[in-house]
Amino acid sequence: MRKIPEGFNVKSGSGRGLIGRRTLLKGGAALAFAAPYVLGSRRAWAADQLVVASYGGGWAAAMTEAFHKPFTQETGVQVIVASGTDLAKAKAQVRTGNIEWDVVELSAGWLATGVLDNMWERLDTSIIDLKTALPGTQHEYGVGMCMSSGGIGWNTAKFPAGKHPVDWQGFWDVKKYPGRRGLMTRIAGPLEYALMADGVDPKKLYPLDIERGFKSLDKIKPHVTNWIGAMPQTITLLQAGEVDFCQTAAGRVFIAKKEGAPVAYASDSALVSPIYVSVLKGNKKKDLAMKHLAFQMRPDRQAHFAELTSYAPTTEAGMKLLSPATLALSPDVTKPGVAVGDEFWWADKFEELNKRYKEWQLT
Amino acid sequence: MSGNENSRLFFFAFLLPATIFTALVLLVPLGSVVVESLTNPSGWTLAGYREIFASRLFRLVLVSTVEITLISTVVTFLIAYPIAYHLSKQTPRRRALLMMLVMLPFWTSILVKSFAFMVLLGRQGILNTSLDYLGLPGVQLLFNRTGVIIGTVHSLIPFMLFPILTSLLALNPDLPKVAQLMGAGRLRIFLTITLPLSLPGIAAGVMLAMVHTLGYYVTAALLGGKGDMMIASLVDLYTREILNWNLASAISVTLFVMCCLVLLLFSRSKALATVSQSS
Repeated sequence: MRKIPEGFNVKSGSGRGLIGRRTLLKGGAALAFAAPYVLGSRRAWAADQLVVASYGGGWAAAMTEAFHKPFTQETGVQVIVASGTDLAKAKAQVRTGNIEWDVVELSAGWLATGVLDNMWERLDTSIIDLKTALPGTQHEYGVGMCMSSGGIGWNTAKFPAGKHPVDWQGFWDVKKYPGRRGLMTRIAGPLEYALMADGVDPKKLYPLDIERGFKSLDKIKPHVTNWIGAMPQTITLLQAGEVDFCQTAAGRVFIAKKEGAPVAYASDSALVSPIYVSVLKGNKKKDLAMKHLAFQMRPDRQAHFAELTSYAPTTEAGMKLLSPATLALSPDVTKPGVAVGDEFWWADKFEELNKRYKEWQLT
Repeated sequence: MSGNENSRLFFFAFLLPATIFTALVLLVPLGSVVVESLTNPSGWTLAGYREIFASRLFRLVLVSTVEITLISTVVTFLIAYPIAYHLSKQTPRRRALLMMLVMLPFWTSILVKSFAFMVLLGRQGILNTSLDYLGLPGVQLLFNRTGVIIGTVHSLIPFMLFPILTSLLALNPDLPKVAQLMGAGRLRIFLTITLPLSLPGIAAGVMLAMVHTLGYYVTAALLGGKGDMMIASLVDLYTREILNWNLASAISVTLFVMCCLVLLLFSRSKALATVSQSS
């Protein structure tokens, strides 16, 4: 469990290992990590530093480059990157009042789950200017600092143009594109894809038609050979030839491609969601943390981040600053096949539906 | 009498640091998990336990966990016993060397091992490409139950092997010799002397293997298919994704009780004593 704060010299991991940030593969009894917070911590509180809980790896390196370093230059406030952001650890900190993380990077669904548990500070709009943001990308408890995109990936060495699906109808069409499919074990995503495959207009997905989605999933189930728990594994499996067509994320494909892996991504049929960053409730450095969130909404910084990672800006001004190459890879919500995810629709349904989805996988 | 008490106090003083350490890092968190499993915002309740035992998902996962545990334990035994028997026949020096080889998987990270399995056994792995080269049909060894068993057995072998080896080494070497003089054949010697006398070691090995496998889940998550979910992954799901710590704790406590039952089952045998000998 890497809880040790890392400084600026965050090593740029490949971000492509077998392990994802969401898995507890780092081992150990699941609840044991709450112990340090219960027993109390003695981290010194320096007024001029902020701790950011991050996904780590290549992502953290890009965050440091685009946001943290310039933030330090402008404000003198040091930013410490703590790898291994985790909703359960965040909850333990709020519950025990031992706040170690000032700013927390959130995975899909965490903002909504945390709002139900009263875990985040409300954004201070006198510090953060949200008026310039693209519509639908912000929330009162977290800034959407970039856009992520989930869709179909394939191995370009095995499947030249025209031999692979480019939309979810094609992914479901096993006669036209024979091959092994991979889907993830988390229902948010596959349910939307199943509905898109069944012909629901991507612009009118929500509220999701749950029964129709499961009926559609039934059709693809026999052809899914791998149920994947962690996003980086999707790339590993594609590269190893274990799956032919696989649910994946544009950002992962971007990194893998940069490293020379023969993988590609269908950006015209995707599910796009903002990646949120929030401030933990009860934080003693709330104002400073809000300033850092405001900094993450700056168009020039967002554009720099997009050039490094392909995760698109959430401000129109930021979009205008992108190079044509990055713009081509960025999720474009104006395309007819691109849906925008709504994690607040999921908030009170996720537990029940995810349980049903896992049962469905097991039977 | 008082001398005896004094020496007891003396030994207790030696154990004190370890006892305090264990109490802090094991008993306190364990206690808080038990409390968490029995409480919700309105107070003490058994609702968490009622919910998991009514859940079809929990029952399915429970069944697959028990199946994986039993199959892995049996397969591990079948592989580990002959190795232990062979090792017991070697000179101490040679045995030490061979034991290093047995320990190798023990020192390797489970993630590295899983990745290595993909290279070896995967669809485009060494085994399947070789079969393909020979014109034989490929075999699916990963991302199904077989994959989970292979991965689990691989990491369990040392746990099974060492207690059995300890038992075999403790066996009086004169007994087989005497039996041989009396005209017993090799098979008879094995079945009537060696095997019964190594039973405590087998019990210890089986116990360790079962307790370990019950809590595994990385292997199943990385090498398994759709029906291979372990109870520990449910704990992960409720702790980290759904944030329902009441249910996560109830499942953890259930898993803990299952492990305790396995220990209890073997507590009447000499298994525990053998474990402490071999370690």
